[in-house]
Amino acid sequence: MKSAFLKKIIMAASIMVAAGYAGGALAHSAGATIDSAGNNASATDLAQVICYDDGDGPTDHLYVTIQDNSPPVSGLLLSAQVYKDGHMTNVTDTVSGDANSSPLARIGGGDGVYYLSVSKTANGARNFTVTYHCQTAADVHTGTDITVLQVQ
Amino acid sequence: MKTPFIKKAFIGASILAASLYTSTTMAYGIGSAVLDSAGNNASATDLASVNCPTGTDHFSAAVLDTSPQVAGLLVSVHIYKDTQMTTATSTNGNWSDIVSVYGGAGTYYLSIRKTNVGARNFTVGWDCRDSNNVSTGTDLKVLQIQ
Repeated sequence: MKSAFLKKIIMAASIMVAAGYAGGALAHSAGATIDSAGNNASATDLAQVICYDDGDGPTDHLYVTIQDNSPPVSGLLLSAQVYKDGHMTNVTDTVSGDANSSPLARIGGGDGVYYLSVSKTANGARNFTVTYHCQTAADVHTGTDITVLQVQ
Repeated sequence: MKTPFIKKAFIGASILAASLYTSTTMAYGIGSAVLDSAGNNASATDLASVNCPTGTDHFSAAVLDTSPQVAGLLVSVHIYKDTQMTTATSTNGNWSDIVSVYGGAGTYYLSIRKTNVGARNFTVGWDCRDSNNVSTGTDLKVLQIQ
């Protein structure tokens, strides 16, 4: 079992790689394994996504998709939640282990700090990829940074 | 189909009733509502803030999905405060585990969500507690009903 510290470094590294890639591709995604020991149904990964005007325009909304890369297990589903200023939404990858991610979820909260979390419905390690974009009202990608707060 | 207004009033009444009850007995809260009453919003999320008073060590919650079971359609509760978040899911018609965030006094966020389209009746219980698991009182405000 990875220590929480090691796991956080790995996730941060994944995010940095994704962010580095995103510099050219205008995309942000991060991958990690939640509940690597497989015994924590309440395991939740949590991050702040900071949306700002990087010159492409002010943020209108943050949108998120999640992809469960692990094989399907009955009753074990992976979801992403987004919260900002009294509003919250969520989305679930209902078919695990295939090449498709969930539908998108979006919160319209303007520039500022959004909270992005990943959780699941039962015990079991799940490898996932979460994709997040701060976008303008015209769906143009704008400034997007992330700070990992909790890795479980 | 209930309108959001009626639905909000319903959950507000449930919460109020629970609060009135708890004011003379225990300090926990309990409320019931329907999530995604139209059955067409997989992302439907109900959200409330709960202010926990001085002396609070942690905030706990659990959820019960009271609708007939549907494969792949599960109801979960989430607690969020500052840099911490946790969750629990009701399965097989049973209450979820009780989960807690240890964030002291202040504002916690309590949400209910599900994993797919489909209306779900649920009951949620919540409680601000001190380090001895004694209720410290709750003050809940509904922020979003879907």
